Amino acid sequence: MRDRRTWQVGSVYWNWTLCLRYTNIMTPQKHPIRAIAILIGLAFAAAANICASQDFDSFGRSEVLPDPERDWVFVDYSLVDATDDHFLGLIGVAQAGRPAAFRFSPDGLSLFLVETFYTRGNRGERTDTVTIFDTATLGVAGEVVIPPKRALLLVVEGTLALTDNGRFLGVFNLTPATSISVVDIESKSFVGEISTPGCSLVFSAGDRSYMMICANGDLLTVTLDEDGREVSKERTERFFDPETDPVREPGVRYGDEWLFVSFDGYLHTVDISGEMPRVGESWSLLTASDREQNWRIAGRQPLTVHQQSGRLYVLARQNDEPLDDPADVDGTEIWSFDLASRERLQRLEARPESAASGGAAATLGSTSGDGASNILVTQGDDPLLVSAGGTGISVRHALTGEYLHERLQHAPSNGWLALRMR
Amino acid sequence: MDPLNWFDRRFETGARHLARLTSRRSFLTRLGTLLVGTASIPLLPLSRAGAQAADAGFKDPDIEGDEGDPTNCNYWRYCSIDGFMSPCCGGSASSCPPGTEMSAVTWIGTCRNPADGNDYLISYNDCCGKSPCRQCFCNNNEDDMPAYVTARSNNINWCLAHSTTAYNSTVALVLGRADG
Repeated sequence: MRDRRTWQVGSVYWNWTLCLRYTNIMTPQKHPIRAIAILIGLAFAAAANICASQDFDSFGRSEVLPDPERDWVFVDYSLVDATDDHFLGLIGVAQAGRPAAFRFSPDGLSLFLVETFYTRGNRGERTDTVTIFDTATLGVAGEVVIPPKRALLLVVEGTLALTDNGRFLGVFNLTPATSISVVDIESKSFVGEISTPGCSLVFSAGDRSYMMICANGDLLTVTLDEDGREVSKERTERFFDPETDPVREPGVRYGDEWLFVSFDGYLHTVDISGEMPRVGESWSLLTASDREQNWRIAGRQPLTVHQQSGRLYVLARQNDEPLDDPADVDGTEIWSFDLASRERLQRLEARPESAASGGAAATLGSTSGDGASNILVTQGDDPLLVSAGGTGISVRHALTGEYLHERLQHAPSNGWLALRMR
Repeated sequence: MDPLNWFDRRFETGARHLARLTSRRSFLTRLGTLLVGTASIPLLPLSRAGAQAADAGFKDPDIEGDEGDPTNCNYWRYCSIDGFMSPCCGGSASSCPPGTEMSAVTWIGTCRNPADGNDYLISYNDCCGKSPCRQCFCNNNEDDMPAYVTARSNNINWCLAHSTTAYNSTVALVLGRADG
């Protein structure tokens, strides 16, 4: 940004400094009286804006983010303006090697995520923290130390949940005993640990409750009191049968419902508006014809919902064999559905034709790189559909499918997508 | 005899017996419940098989026709692996690279040995304590389950019960016949 003491003349910024330097060169040292006279003359000329020169930059200034816009999207830890193709900043995490789940305070001023530290890099005493970041700077604003038990997974959603009253963070622990660490974000303190045998991952299920998925397909509801301590734990009806068609971890919220997709392409819904979760009727995202043609639901982040229109977007691909781990292969198409009528509305390519396939070499957490692995839709009128593949991020108008950016130029090439909540 | 070791061996025998009596997925679901259900016990049943193997210099059982290249991702034992193969990192299919520790808990797969046509229980123990080896990444995932079926999920860092959770690589121990 240009300083107020600077003038622009043509394409050059001028201020007093340059002007004085020029004067110095032109002044013969052996004629001091003449030099003084020239200097006085120049000072008068400058005061009259005849001479302009380059200004000093002020030292030590860092940007502060303005109020967030609805199209600000995190790609892992990088915050990007998806409309303007502008890189806004980076969350100051200590370890950026793996994506993490974020949650925001109700006032939008704080962002929370879980970190693990060792006193000697990757060895020594372990400390786990819920780290609090200031959303205006994406820098650390505080921390709450929690038991060193947080689950270390290649899974993002289900590792951190914020109750709907915006107060209690639940961190999923796996040692391999399963439990939840509860943190009160109002008092910025650890409340306690709740043991949850046989049940894993954590999702918000109301003002003061969490929902977990059990190994046998049950749901576990954990209810808290006003201080965040355990009131009850109750297993509810069988959600699905893990022996025939397990649901995948990355659930998405649609109003008072959680939506999950199964390995075999069925959408499962859980209504959390009541005291206990209520399992809805599941339905197939694939038609009989799709199944004949071996279409599957794939991708690391395969579902996203535009709340206002009730439109669900999913990642799909053709694969001869059922997918052993659908997270490891990209979707080659993005389909949208009207959740009310269950009709498919759009079929979009997952990767622009102009974009290269591939990306990072196969390693832990990488995907097939031939389509898109992650999708996210922004909210409000004229939502944007953001998709991440191995070689870049695409942005298009979600309702029409028309590209805004085939590939962002100022963003990471892939990563877990999250909205900057307002 | 260390009472905990005795306890673990009893559980290991029980788990293998159960595996032989039930279908694969059914067994694995029950095993998951068993593993989680006994998680407060410091040494876990099947997991302990791996730890004992590491302590005692584990030797694979003699399997007729256990052939193939353990540095190749298609090697039969790797049917459900998701990680860096230990033989490419200084170890072998059944031993960890120097200076790393074999994880005491793990996930279990069932792989068919093409040489004899039999199914075997494979314990995929992570080698822990050093940075990722980043050699020979292999991601086969056969019958991989989501993370809530913990004992069947390879998307978990199984160094989780160690003093350091640094993940280096993975071995594939043959625990016994799955269909015997």
